[in-house]
Amino acid sequence: MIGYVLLITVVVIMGAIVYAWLKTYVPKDLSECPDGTSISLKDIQYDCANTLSLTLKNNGRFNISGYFIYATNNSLDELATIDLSPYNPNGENGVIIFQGPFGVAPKEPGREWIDTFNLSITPSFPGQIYSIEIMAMRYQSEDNKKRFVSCSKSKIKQEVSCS
Amino acid sequence: MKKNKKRGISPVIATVLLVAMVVVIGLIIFLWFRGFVEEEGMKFGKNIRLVCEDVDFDASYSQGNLKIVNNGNVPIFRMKIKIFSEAGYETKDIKDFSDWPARGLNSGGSFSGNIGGYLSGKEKIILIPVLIGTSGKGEKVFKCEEQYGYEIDI
Repeated sequence: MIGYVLLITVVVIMGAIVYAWLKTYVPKDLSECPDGTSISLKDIQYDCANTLSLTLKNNGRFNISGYFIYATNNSLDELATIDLSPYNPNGENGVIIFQGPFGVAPKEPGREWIDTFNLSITPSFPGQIYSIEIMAMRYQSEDNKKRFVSCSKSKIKQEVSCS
Repeated sequence: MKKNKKRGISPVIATVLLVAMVVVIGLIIFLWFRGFVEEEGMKFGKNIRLVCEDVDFDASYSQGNLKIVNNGNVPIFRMKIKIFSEAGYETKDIKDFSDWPARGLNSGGSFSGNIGGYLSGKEKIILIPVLIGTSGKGEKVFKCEEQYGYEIDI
């Protein structure tokens, strides 16, 4: 009798341990932007010196909380890697996060706004901007936590000319 | 004729001993086997090997400049560079010949570095992401499979 009790207990415990371990091998989706998240560039004003002004629009179906912005300074670069975020008061580490009086203030669908970049801030932008790349980001709730999510499908690239 | 007076252990004790031995041997085998698996570590609540599928980055190489942009939501801790030449190939860590960020490329992050001096005369490179996860022993670095790499002809 004792033998059966012990055996079944051990089998149950080992089953629970193996289950918990194997559960880590079950693929589960990483949080990502919903399809339909989009940002568009309506206008660019660039004086080819110190000021870049962008008119942006949330033309998607979901709020966005900010965007990544990088630039190139010559036509040979396929990828934009020069960070433009330090030149905007709301920017840091490559990303511009929309700020309101109570913290992050997402832009709702259809909203249009203008962001200005002062390129003379030290260290000033190396050379002249050739193109810019913009990618939207969102904060998404997951398990009662807010997660920072980049929206790779919303990435746009635009060449910049002096105006 | 002599009578054998030796007596065996009771069936209860024999059963208990048998069960105890099976349990101990089972535990030893389980812990030994788990040691192999724990080497890989965990990230975002799942085995880090599975997280490699979610890595999403772009890369380009021109005039000695290697540029990498992390488009996805998985931070790239390091990058292994498999460098192919006529003689074969060698694998190096990007940190060995560039100022790769200490904590890697976060979501949306970018990297640009001149590694032309190391790649002259080479044929192609494959950039293989390296992730950092957690295990029972703390942080654990995991190199993704080559299939998740990014191939660039030089």
